[in-house]
Amino acid sequence: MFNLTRREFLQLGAASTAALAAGSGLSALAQADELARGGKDFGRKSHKERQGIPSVCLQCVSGCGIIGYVEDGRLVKIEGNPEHPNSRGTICARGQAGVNQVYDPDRILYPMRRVGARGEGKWKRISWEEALNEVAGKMRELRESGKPHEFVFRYGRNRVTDYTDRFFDAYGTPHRLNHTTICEGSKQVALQMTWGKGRELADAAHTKYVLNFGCNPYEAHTQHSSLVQRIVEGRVENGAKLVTFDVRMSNTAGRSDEWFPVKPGTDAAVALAMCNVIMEEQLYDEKFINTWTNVTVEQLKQHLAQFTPEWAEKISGVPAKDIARIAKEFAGNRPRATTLSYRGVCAHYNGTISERCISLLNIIIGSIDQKGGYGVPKGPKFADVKPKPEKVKLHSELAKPKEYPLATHTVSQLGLPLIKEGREKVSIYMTYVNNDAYSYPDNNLMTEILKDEKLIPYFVAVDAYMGEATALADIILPDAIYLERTHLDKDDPYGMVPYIALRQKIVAPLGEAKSFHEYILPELAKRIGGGMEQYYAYGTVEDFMTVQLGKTPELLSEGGLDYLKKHGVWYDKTKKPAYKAHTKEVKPEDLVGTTADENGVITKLDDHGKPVYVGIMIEGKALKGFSPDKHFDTGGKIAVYSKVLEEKGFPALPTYVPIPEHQNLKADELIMTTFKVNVHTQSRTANCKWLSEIYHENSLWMHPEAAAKRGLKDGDLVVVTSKVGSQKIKLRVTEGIYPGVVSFADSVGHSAYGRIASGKQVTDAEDVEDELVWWKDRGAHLNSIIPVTVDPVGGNQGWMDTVVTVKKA
Amino acid sequence: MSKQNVNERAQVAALRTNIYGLLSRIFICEVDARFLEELRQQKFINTLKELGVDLGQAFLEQPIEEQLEDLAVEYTRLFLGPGKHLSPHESVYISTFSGQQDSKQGLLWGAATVKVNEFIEEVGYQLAADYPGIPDHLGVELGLMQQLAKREETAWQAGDIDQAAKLVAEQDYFLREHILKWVPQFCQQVAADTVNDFYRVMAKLTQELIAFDHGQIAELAEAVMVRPNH
Repeated sequence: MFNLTRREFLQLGAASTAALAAGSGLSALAQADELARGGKDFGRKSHKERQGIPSVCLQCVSGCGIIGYVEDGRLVKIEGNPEHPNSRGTICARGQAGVNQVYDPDRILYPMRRVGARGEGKWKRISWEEALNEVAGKMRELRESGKPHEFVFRYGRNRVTDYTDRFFDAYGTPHRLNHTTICEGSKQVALQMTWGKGRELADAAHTKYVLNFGCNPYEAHTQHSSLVQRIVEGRVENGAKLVTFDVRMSNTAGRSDEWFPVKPGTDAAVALAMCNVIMEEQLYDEKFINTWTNVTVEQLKQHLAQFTPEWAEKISGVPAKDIARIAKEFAGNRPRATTLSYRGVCAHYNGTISERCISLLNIIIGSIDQKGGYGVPKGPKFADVKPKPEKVKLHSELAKPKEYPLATHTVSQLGLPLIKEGREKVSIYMTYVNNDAYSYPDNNLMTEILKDEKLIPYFVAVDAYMGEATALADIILPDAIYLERTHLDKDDPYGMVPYIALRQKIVAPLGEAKSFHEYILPELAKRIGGGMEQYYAYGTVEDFMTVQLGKTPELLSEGGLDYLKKHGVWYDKTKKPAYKAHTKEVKPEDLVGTTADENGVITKLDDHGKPVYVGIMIEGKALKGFSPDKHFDTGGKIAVYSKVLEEKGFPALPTYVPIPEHQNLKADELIMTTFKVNVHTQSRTANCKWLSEIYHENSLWMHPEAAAKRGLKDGDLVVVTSKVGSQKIKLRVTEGIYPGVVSFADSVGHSAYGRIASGKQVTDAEDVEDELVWWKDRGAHLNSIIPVTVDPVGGNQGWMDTVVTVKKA
Repeated sequence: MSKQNVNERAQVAALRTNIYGLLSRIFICEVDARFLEELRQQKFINTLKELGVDLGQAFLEQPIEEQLEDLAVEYTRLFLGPGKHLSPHESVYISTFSGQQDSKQGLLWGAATVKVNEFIEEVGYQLAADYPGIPDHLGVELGLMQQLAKREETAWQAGDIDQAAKLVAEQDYFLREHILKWVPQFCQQVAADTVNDFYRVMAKLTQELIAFDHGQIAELAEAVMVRPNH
């Protein structure tokens, strides 16, 4: 098109002077300041020592210790931190691919404002000043008009709740929707109402028997590499046996000594029949049951007698003789025996009640908090940073819908549907590392609601990537990812000694990304004003953390925050693993001013005159017992019999609750479940090139018998239909699945989340090639055909309950 | 070398400085009011016309505010995202992870970025402290050419032929080893994708200008006979 000659070239040069004189734009380059400073060396041809910075991974929630290596300002490698007491230097592929999260070419690096219709994809870069003023302006207006409760905060992976709770308590909204019930909410509720803690901590390294129900720690777990390395250790060092009940031959099932395919949602029947065998065969721990639970051996025997192995076989498909044999093996190793259980149990309509059946196995053999048994999590405590705003007392129908009074972890899958129903009026919807439009069931419905400006008038997304939901936002605040920010972290310790870890900045936030808790929240608070700013008088995040560490004098004596910066993690190396914490005596000074009730429960009145649990009288001694959860009064003992459940009309004793949709299935109907693979985490890793190169295409697993019946063969494209929709996916025919079940892996099949995850060309222009993503198939995401279902007790999404038909496409 | 020759070289370097300055400004961030005003000057428009480039009457007649908004939205869509966009970074186009024999990664801050940054520092610059971008951004790479050409002009003017020759060699190297490795492909993609005449024309112009300039700078480098050690 150009008739470019030397003359024209030079003419353009002359004509450009004026444009240059404008002096507009950014100046990217500055003179090197070597001379000014006298001696900065820029001759960088030699290999320099890489700087290693210890931190904590967040590619999933496990919180493994990592060391990030930085060279030339670039994060070049992540490896495990050997000092971390949980992960002990081990990290998985996801952790190593964290490098890709920083340098995803589709990261959002600048604040963006939508300029077209919502979801149209038309944006304009704006400055942080403009972005913060806009968001704060709307928030201030809402708050000043007395309606802070029309603000909804929805978060996915949030490890800075200390900061977000502070902000939203100060702001005054009760609507904080987490993502627990699309994960493990019912498991947590079940355990909290039973023994006061939301999770168990299987002491797998010292166990002799692991009974695994629907958990896949060899591939994914809330403490993935920390747990699986201990299972391996237990098997190698103690010859521990691993028996897995799973609808599918997971990698864990494949590595187990025995695998039993089980019909979805019937694990509880197997567990109860085992409990029955253990009671019948006198293999239980009588003293433990009588001392530490609220039921007697006789009551239990009587209750469990109905659950025979033969009955369980009919329900679950697991042979009665195996149920009886394994029950005896498990109890025979007591107390060094433990169960594992996860979404195979809790992500069902009957999740809470079923999880209680699994935990009962540990209770009756007395392996609770024993070496090699079913441990009680022991986390560190952080001190409050004052002044701290009061908890918002307003009720939230979105977070705690009235139909689900026991669902204490919110019912997050109902958040948007309840907004649609008009349960709460919403003026501002803010998300943080959240992807309603991908991660949730019936995600087409979620997308529709997010698009509706009448239901959600203003949508602010704090995110680093263009997720399916963030694409629908009105304004995007680019988030600094976990490798670019600093805060304390803690988790349940497998070493049975509490630890404190530091997630610290390894590289500076890329572009103009800013940390939510370090920058965005304090800046918004200052701009909203009205008293909010007083809760940010603490100074920097370092000051905040220093106060938090005030409850740990042992760490402070070793250097406090400086120690953490250097090592990434701290625990008291003089402490021995604390087993049987419930049998420890309450210190005499803690008994001052307490009273004991007729059941021996010792309490003390707090500043507001409310009784606070201190311990329990057992055989004339004041022992620590099982500290009740704040939501459920378990009275210091293990509540095998749950008054709370009884009051709400649910079975008070562990029992089997059939899943209504699974009864009387038609001949062509199958049950569809979901699973996770070993290189991905939910919605948030498909943008990592190193991971998606390994796993990018999923398939629907189906048993050969089921396939033959439908005339389907391996590799066929099939249509899966549920009551909310249809989706196509490739079929994988395998004997590694229960015959009446089909199953698919999540994490892939993105329609957004950047070029690597979605496989979309970088532009719509036809002649633009993008050869850097070499794989063509991205798999399918079947959440769109999974209906929103709720465990009526714990509120979990029934991911594993979907009834489908499968036909050739 | 005759005085006349030297003067002419200084002049050419000055004009090349302007061209790279213009191109850098186009890609470094959105067009703002002052820049747009200059772009709409008749002299500039006429020069473009002589090159066979017509921005069209609409470019001159669209109300400034509306035009700024259109250009900003298109800049965002083309070069920033969120969502589909053409990342204006060398690393995304050519970089392997280690800089060795591994496959292209298509990620930000790859080995090429490190090389660009090293080069920037070797020739005595660094990224401005308040610049939020990445060293191998197109606007930065073109801006570096602008700075080197400017220095070359100064060297010619001072009669420091060795220094001028060194700067010519550095520009030759940077064009060959960095800009020409990815910018032509990038510009083609921008021209194919954009819905905005201004960015389409500027992308094509950039592609042509750097190819042309490479010819002339290589010739000059040959003439002044300094080969870089890279």
